[in-house]
Order: sequence, then C-alpha cells, then structure tokens
Amino acid sequence: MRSKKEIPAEEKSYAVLFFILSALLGLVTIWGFWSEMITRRPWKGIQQEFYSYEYEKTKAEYENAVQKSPEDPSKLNIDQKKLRDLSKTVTEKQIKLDEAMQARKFEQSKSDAVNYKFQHSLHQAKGEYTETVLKYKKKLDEYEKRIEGELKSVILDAEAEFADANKTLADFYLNSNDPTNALSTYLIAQKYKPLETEIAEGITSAQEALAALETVQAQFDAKDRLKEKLSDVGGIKRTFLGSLLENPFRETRTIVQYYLEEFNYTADRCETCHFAVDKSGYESAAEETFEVEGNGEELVKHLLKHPSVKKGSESIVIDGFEAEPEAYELTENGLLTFTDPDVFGEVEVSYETDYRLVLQTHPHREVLLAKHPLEEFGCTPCHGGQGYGLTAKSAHALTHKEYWLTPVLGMDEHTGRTSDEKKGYMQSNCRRCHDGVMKLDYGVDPETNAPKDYAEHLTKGMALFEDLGCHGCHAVEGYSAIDKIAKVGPSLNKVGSKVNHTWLENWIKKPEAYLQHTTMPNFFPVEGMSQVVYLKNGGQRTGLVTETATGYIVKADDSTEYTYKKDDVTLIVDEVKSIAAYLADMTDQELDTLSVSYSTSQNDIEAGEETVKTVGCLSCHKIGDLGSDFAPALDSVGTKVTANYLYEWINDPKKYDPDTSMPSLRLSQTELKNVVAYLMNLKKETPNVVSDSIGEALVAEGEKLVRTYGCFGCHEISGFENESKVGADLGEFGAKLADELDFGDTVDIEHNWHDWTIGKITNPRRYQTRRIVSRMPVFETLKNNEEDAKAIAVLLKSFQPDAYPLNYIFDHAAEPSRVQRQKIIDAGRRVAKKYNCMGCHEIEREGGNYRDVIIAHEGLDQTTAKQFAPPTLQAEGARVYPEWLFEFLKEPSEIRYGLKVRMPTFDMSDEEATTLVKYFSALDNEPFPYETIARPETSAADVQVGKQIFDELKCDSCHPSQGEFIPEGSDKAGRPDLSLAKQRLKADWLIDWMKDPQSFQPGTAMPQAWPLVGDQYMPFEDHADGDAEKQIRLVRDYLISLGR
Amino acid sequence: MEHFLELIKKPDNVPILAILFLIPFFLWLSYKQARQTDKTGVPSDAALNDKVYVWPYLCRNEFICAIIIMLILGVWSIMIDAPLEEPSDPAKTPNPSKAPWYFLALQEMLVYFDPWIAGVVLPGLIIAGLIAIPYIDINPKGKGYYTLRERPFAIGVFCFGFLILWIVLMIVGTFLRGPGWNIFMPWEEWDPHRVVPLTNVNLSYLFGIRDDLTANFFGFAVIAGYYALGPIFYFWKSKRSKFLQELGLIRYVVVSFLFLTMMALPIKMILRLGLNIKYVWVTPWFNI
Repeated sequence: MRSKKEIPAEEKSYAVLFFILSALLGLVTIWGFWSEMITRRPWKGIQQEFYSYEYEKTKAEYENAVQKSPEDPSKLNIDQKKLRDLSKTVTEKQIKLDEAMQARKFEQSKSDAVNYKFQHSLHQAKGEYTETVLKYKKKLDEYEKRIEGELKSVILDAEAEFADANKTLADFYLNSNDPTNALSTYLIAQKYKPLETEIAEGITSAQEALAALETVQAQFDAKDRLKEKLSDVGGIKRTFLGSLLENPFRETRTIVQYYLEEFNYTADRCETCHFAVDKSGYESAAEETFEVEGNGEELVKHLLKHPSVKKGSESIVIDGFEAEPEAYELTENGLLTFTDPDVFGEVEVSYETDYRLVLQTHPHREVLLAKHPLEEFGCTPCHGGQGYGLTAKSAHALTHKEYWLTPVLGMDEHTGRTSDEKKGYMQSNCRRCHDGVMKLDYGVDPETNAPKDYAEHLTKGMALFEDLGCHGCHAVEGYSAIDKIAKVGPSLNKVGSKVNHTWLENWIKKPEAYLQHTTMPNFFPVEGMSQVVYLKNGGQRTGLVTETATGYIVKADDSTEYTYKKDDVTLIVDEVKSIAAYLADMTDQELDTLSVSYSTSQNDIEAGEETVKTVGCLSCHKIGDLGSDFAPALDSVGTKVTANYLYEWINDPKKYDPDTSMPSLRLSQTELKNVVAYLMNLKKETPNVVSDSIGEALVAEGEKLVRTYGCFGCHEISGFENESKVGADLGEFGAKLADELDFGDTVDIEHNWHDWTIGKITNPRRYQTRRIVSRMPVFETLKNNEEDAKAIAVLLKSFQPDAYPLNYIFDHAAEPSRVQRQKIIDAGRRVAKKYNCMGCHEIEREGGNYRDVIIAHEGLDQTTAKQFAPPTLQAEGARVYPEWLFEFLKEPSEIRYGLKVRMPTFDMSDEEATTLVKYFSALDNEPFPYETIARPETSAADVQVGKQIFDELKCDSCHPSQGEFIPEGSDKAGRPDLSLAKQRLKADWLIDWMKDPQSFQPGTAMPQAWPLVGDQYMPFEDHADGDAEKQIRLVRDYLISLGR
Repeated sequence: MEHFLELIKKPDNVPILAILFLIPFFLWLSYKQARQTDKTGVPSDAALNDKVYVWPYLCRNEFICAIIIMLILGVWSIMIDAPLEEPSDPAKTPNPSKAPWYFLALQEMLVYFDPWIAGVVLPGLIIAGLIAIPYIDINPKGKGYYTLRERPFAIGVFCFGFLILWIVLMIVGTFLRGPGWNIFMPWEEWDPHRVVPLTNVNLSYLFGIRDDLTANFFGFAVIAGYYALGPIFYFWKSKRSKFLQELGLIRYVVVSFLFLTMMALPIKMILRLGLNIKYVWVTPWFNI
C-alpha cells in the first residue's frame, strides 16, 4: 500500500469527496430556500392563522345564515298552464286593441286627406262655400263623427278588456308570489284603467310583496356572498401551501407596507404581522344577540362570530335572565350548545375573545384609525419603533438598545411585550401633533357621541406638569402649553408683611409639615442639611453642622463627616434662615400700618366659621376634611399669616396681588371681621424645624440662594424678573439614552430611561453624588406616588428632538373651524381652571363637588343639596346670551335667591371673561357672537294666554319672583328668577328647555309639562287651540314680557 | 465575562474570530514546512520541476475548494444575518465608533499619533513599502519552498509588522477597545462612564523643558536622532558586512527608513503606555 502522499496527482480520485460535497451543497441550497421562504418570514404563519380564523368566522356566519334562511325566493311555483292561458288572453286583447287603434289611425289619416281637399277647395273658391266645398265638408264631418263615435267606443272597449285581462294576469302573478311581474302588469292595467281602485290596491300589495321579497332576497344574496367568501378564504389561503406562494395578486401572503416620505422615508410594515389591525372583527371583546328556538329534540347549537373565545369570560343572557353555567356549553372555538333542547328566546352573549395580540383589531379602531388612516400615518409616528426594521425584533426597536431610543412605546424591553407598567407611553406621541392643549378630547365616544379623551395618561401628565410648576424651572423647547401657564406659586413681593417669620422659616425648610399635600416642594429633604460652612481656604461644605470643643463637624448628606478647626472656619450660614431673612425684607408699607385686631370671642368665631363653611370658601380651600385642595388648606392658617394681611386679602384680594385668582365674596364688614377672627384662631402647633441650626441668617446669602434654587420660577420676586430658568431644558429629554443619564451611586435602579425618570420624579435627589450636586427639590405629592410619576413620564417621553411634519400637526392640518373651536375651548378651560369654576359648577361633566360640602355641613341629602348648590353649567352656552354671561362674569348679580353660597366677584379681565363666554358657546356649538333675530311682537292677548298657562302649571311654586324673600327650606331656594329670562336666556333655548329639560340637564328638578308621546308633545289642556307647540311659545313670550 | 461572550457572538466579529484560529494554523503550517526544508536542505531542481497539468488536476482541486467555500458561505449566510443597524444619525454616533475589523489596526494607531500621520502618512508608507519590496529585496533564495534560515530578516520583519502590528492590534481593537476607546479587559463590562486619568505630557515636558521653541527643537532633535540611527549603523557595520555592501547605500537608506518608521509605532506605544508621553515632537503643524 502506498501512503496517500505517494499517489501521484494523476491517479488520485476525488469521486467520493465530490459526491458528499455536492450532496451537502444541494441540501444547503434547499435549506437556504426554506430559510428564505419560511423561517425568515414568520409573518406568513400569522397570516395563515388569520385566514383560518377568517374561514371559521365565515363558516359560522354562513351556517347561521343557512339555518334561518328561507327558501330561495327566486324559485317560483307557478301554474304554467294557467299562466299560458292568461298570457294568451292578454295577447289576444292586445291584438284587438291594436287593431282598433289601427282602424282609428287609418280613419284619421283618411279624414286628414279629406280635410286637405276641403281646405284646398275652399281656398280655390276664394272662401265661397261652393258645391264642391260643401261635398268635402260633408265627407269630413262623416269621418270625424265616425272617429269620435263608433271607433272611439271600440277602442275604449278594447282598452277595458285589455286592462281587465292584464289585471287578471297580475292577480295571478301576485298570488303566485311573483310581485315583480305582478307590479309591472298592474301598471299596464292601470294605464288603461287609471281610476279602478282594485288595480291601485293591487299595485300597493304588489309593492309590499316586492319589498318583502327584496328583504328575503337580500338575506339570500348575503348567504350567497358568504358562500363565495367561504370558498375564497377556504382554499389555499389557510393552508401551509399558501405560505409557500407569496403572491400579492391572489392575496395569499402579502407584505403590507406604508411608505411615509415625510417621516424620514419610513416604510412601516407592521401590518404584515398585525394583519387584522385595520380590519374589524378581531376585537378583544364582543357582544352578540340572536334568537334561538329549540324543537325539543335536538340540542340547539349556535356558532359565535368569533372562533376564539376566552373561556370563563362569557356572560349569557336569555330573554333577560342570566343563564346558569350548566345551561350551556361553550367551546374555545365558539360553539355554543344549549343543554335544554326546548330553549327559546333572544340570547345576548358577551365574551372576551382569545385572539393573539398580534391578530387583534386596533383598539378604538373606528375612532383612532378613522382619524389617523394608516395610509397617511403608518404606525411608527404614533407607536415608535423603527419602520425600516426587517425582523419583528428590529421593527419593535428591541435591537441596538444602546442607540435606538424608542422601542415600540408601551413595550417592555425585557419581555418584548406590552406591559401595563409602560402602556401609558403609547400616548406620548399624541402630543407631538396635538400640542399645547390641556386635554386631548379630539375623538368621540362612539356610544355616547360625546367628546372623549383617548390619551388620559398624557392628559394627566400634562396637568401634573402644570400644577406642580415644572415649567418654573425647566424650559421645554417645542412644548407650547408652557407659554400659556403662569407661575404656580403666589407672589412673594409683600411676603414680609403677609406671614410670620418663624412660620416662613419652617415653611421653607419643610413645607409638608404645615401643608401635607402642598405643591411647594422641599429643597432641604435631608433633615438639617441646610448649613454651609465657609472655610478660610475659600472652600465650603454643606451639611449638618455641630460644634465641638475644638471646632466643627459637618455631616454631609452621604453621612461623611468632615472636621474643621475653629480657626479654619470663617462663617457658618443657615440657608433656610437666610432665604427667610431675605424674603422677610420684602414688606408692604401700607399693609404694615394697618393694625387689625381680631376678636377671640367664641360667638364671633362661630359666626365666622359658619360664613367660611357656607359662603363658598370651601370650594377651593379645605378645613379639616371639608373642601377642596385647589387652594391651600386653612387648618392652621392662624399660625401662618398676619391679621393685617388676612383682613386685607379677604376684603380685596386683587389689592394685595393683582394677578391672584382668589375672588372677593363680597363679605359685609361684620362677616369679614368674624371670618378673620375664625381663621386667625385656627392654630395648630407644629414643631420648629429650624431652631437647632447654629448657622447665621444673612440677607445677602439669602438672595444668592433664591437665585441658586430658582425660587423665582414659581414665585414672583422683584429683582428676579429677568433670570433664566434654573433647570435643564427638557426639549429633547424623551430621546435621552440610558448612557446619557447619570445614575449616580444608585444600585437599585435599572439603567434605562423609564426607571431613571421615575426615580428622578419620585425622589429628585436620588442621583446626587459626592461630586454632582442636585438642587431639584422633592415634591411631597410625588414621593411614593408611581402613578403620578408615570403620567409625568408619559409627557416627558413626548419631548423629542425631531418635530413632526407640519401637515400632520393638528393646528396646521385640520379644518380651520375645528382648530379654532379647539383653541377656544382650550383657552376657556385654562381660564376655568385658573378660577376653579369646577370647584362649584359642573362643566363638561366634571366638577361641582361643592355639593359635597353642603351635604356634609348642612346634613342634606343629594337631591336637596343639589337645590342649594351652585347650578350646573352643562349647556350653558346654549342657554344664556353671551352678552349677559359676560356682564355676569364681570359683575355677578343674583339669579337664584335663598342660597348661602355666592357667586364670587373674580374681577377678571375683559379678555378672560370673553374667553369664558366663547368657551361656553363653543362647547354647545353655538355661534359667537350670537345674533338675535327680531321676533314679531306677541299680542297682549297671547301673552295673557301664556300667563294663564304659566299660572295653571304653577311655575311660580318653584320659581321666585323678583327680589322675593325666600324662607329657609323653601322650594324656591336656588331656582332661577324668571323675570331675568329676557336678558339672560336665549329665546329659542327656552322653548327647547320647556320641551325636554332632561336632555339638557339629566336629573334636573324641572318637570316636563308637555310630555312627549311618539313624536308629538301632548298639549296642556286646551289653551291656544290645544296646540302644545303654541302653548310653549306663548309661555316663553310671557316670560320674555316679564323682562327687565 | 458574560459581556465578552456577547461580544464574541456578534456577527461583525465572525471574521476576526476566524482569524484567531486561521492565522496560527497557517503560521504553524508554514513553520513546520520551513523547518522541514531547513532540516533536509533545499529541494533539488528536479523536485521543483516535477509538474502536473492545470487541467484537470489543479482545476478539480480548485473546484472542490470552491464547493467547500460555497458550503461555508451558504451556511454562514443562513445562520448569521448581516449586522445591519438603525439608520445613521450624525447627532448620535455609537460609542465606541469602530472602523470595520480590517481597519482596526489603523484606528489603533490613531491613539498614538496625529490623525494625519496615523491616517495618511503611515498607511501611505505601508503601501509604498510594499511596492518597494521587489526593489529592495535582493535575496534570490526561497522561491518555491518554505524556509526560515535563508530569509531570516524578511520573515522576521513580516512577522513583526503583520502579525504583531496588524493582526494583534486588530484583535485588540475588536475585543478590548470599548466606549471612549478605553481598554477593557474581557472580564470588565463596557461602561461608557468610565473615567481614566488624563496625565499625559510631552517628552520635552518630562525633560523639564517648558519653553515652546526649545521644546520644538528638542523634539526635532530626538526624531532626527532616531532616524539617524540607520546611517550610523550603516557606516559602523558596512565595512565588515557583505550583505550591507551588496545592498548599497540607497537601498539601505530606504529599508532603514521604512524599518525605523515601523518600529516607531511600538516605541510610541511603549512611551505612551509606560511613561504617559503624549508627543515626542510638537510643532504648530503636526505632532509626532
């Protein structure tokens, strides 16, 4: 044997090697094809699943249709012999009629010829009636007589016979269930016998029969179409073979792609897998109603519309009765079997479907996708992710986490699934087109047709952002709402005269000690860390300072202790005390010179308490558990403010601060004094948290600190008007990568945007390190409040660097009238929020909680409390004249007597009042300005009739007359004075209101005097000719005639 | 370590991973054959002239190789996707920004030299040097067989220049260079926030020179002195070395210039890593 090396090249054989390699290459080639067509196109499997669902759905629909479908109506059972006979008669009569007609036609023609001869001869005889002329005349007369007489009667007879024959035929058709032919035959008969009632009746019944037939036919056709569809989706589409064929023309398997040139040339192919996203029928929950009728022998079966049912989620109601679980059996593929073979009645089923998420229809598709069609908007502009991606993972932007910022919004990057935790982020991108508004209720609720906000998390986030005053320190490039909101804190320009110094120090140090739910954040969250030690070598150290025999120990907030000798320390400053000292210097001469003393007599205090708790203070403030959190709680306001300030403030808030939203409640001097006495005596001892500091208070240092901490972001402080915001610009914050965020020394926080942001919001000092100082204060209300933090994070996520194309931005792209309306409404909402209108009134189905104060304080029930509460402002725009509303807002006057709560004087600007008026008009789609059309004067007699109806309806048992005194407990308390109707209420609205009060204000106490029966209003007795409409009009006219 | 395994698995790094095994293998193969030759002596002319026809004997071997390559490429392309990334964004560059693997050695040089030296002059010299090889290599031996003994200088320079300065730097660049182009050992996680002390100084500063002009001259002197080593060696040795005489002065100058330039890279690396030297010669126009 030679060794392999020794065999010369010429003698070596590679056959076996070659064969093995070729076989391997062949296998790899097949593998390549398989990988290319199946493995790498997992969406084919999803579409196959879709089509098999589609097949099952169609099959169920088809089978249900077959079950209740009648016989094919196009199959007729006609007595052919009789039909032939009747048709023959009709034909005979037709021939007869034709012959008669022809006879007359010929005769007519002949008479025309004679006529010619007659006229011609008359012409030639120059008008003389010669013999020839007369001969022709006689002949002509004969012809005409025959045509009009004998021939005509023959025709009439023939026509009558023809009509009768047709009618007989038509009757026969009708009886043979062929209304189409019956109708056309009747119509022929009617042409010749237009007056015969039997024929007219026949036509009516033929038409009815035809309509009935068409319904059946439609059902039948629908069934046919289902059958067609069944064969369409039942073939190759739902099989694996369909996956091998990728053919867009036969729609076996298709890549669905939306190409968005304006969004950086994105090509969103999401729908390839999310195949049912824009198709109805794959909702996560369904309801259906159908009839069942058991024959007592077989079990009744029904296939539900969805072949995928989450078992246990169903609720089945048969004729109004909840069915017991034993009464039926429901399989996962939607086959519902009733155990009782005699089951009978209407069945209502509601259940959750069990389609995989990827195969579900887009939630609220009928609203959201209708407004944002996929062809225009694609998917990624709203959902994030990357449209360029070629695999599911990359399309969801789950790859390259370190550079690609937005995994599909709402998706958890670990699990690759939508998580409840992060679902809210799906709403972030809404703001990028719908910017600068308080609420995104652009969509409608398909059930109630009322505006609905589909981005609640975002709305909540925006509200928190504004309410907490984030904008005070942070600029946000591209967030236009910021320009519309004011500083959240009160002006501090006269604060030295307003509050007591110890309180101020304690407040700055620890606001939540005085006010638990305050929006004022804590700048000194680590207890005691407010002292700064200045060293001789120029350095400084902040922390808790304690003095020892030889020097000082400074404990920094990471618990490191630094020891300094006394000689090395030049100064120890307390930050809190310094800020307080600086602010305390801002006094108001005028306020200080007042010397208000307050009573401590129990009587005065009690009187004051009663005023505070009834006049309306608690619509914004809170005392104890009573009231609202809109304005600061007053529980221990006596420890906070000076009596001078309190008196002045309640008396005329705008005098102290022209920009305040605190209104005047027009208190009398006595009321005012009692209220001051009550409030000044509200004192609660809180521990002094600054007393143990050894730091000094330095005014100059205080000014520096106000600048450092950015107090002027929320408060107006003179001298700081031109400072720029102290926080970072958040304009691109949403796009920050984890690498760009500083996690400090934290070890318990995962390195990603979401966790960092939630951590920062709930505890802003969390990422502070020895080197990097954070000055962002801690918000008490956000501590341990992940819900709110998440909502804010949703808004923050929307702060992205690239602006969306202009023609996608709502304000640019929508119809100008819609944009205008939304802007008016948004502006109105802001003013309404500023003055807390919703504290008392119900507006846009929100607010009106002052009723609870009345219930709690007066001990009334819901309905009575409603009477004594401020009125709801639902449909206010439809109800009152804009001019009147404007005047009322500027200078409230009494409309409802006997109420303890008062409409305050807000002293708002003309602009604000107009904004509110326009807002109410826009809410009810009323025109603004409102044009009043002159109505004809109503006669005195008519007005009298109106008055009579008014009196008989006893309207005045509830509605007071002008200036009437209302005793306590009267029905008239809180009812509007109708003599104001002329200037206040829109004349057209009055009529609509009297017709149906409930439609404007569900639950109103106003009775419906003219009940609606069918579509008619029932008249009230027989006034005004028993015409309800007229009666209502006359009452309206009477009310207007009361006008002052 | 987990992170390092992740790095190894990246599709971008498949070729470099293959190199880790292929280069040592071929190195071993050629070394083995060279040793064989060196032991048994240069093959005779007859042995060197024993030939077979290209067709079919060579072609069929090549054909089988082609099938094997197709198999490998086929399986590779099915198993591992092209590492496409997200659309580029000039405002968001990846950290670290790495050149393709075959350019990583060049990128590594950027750590030690100015961009225009590391990016233009040195690569230019590499090409120029490769072009010059036929003109400066006057050793006729070693054709058609492997040998170490007959071409020690040529093979030594190749091994150092290619294996150490090209392949090793490439591997370092792939596996050890992390965010901020800092060195991360395989067991360390790539932390973009890592901070390294910035304490590099120029050579002149180390020698106590603070004046710019003096420093400039000093740097020039050092560089000039370094390149002068070549001629000095020539004049010192040429009397006794037959090889140098055959090579001639001009060829020698070219070889020594290229060789010294090549050696400048490891020298600079040692200076930088060992002594924290930033530059040897600083001028307003370029730094070395």
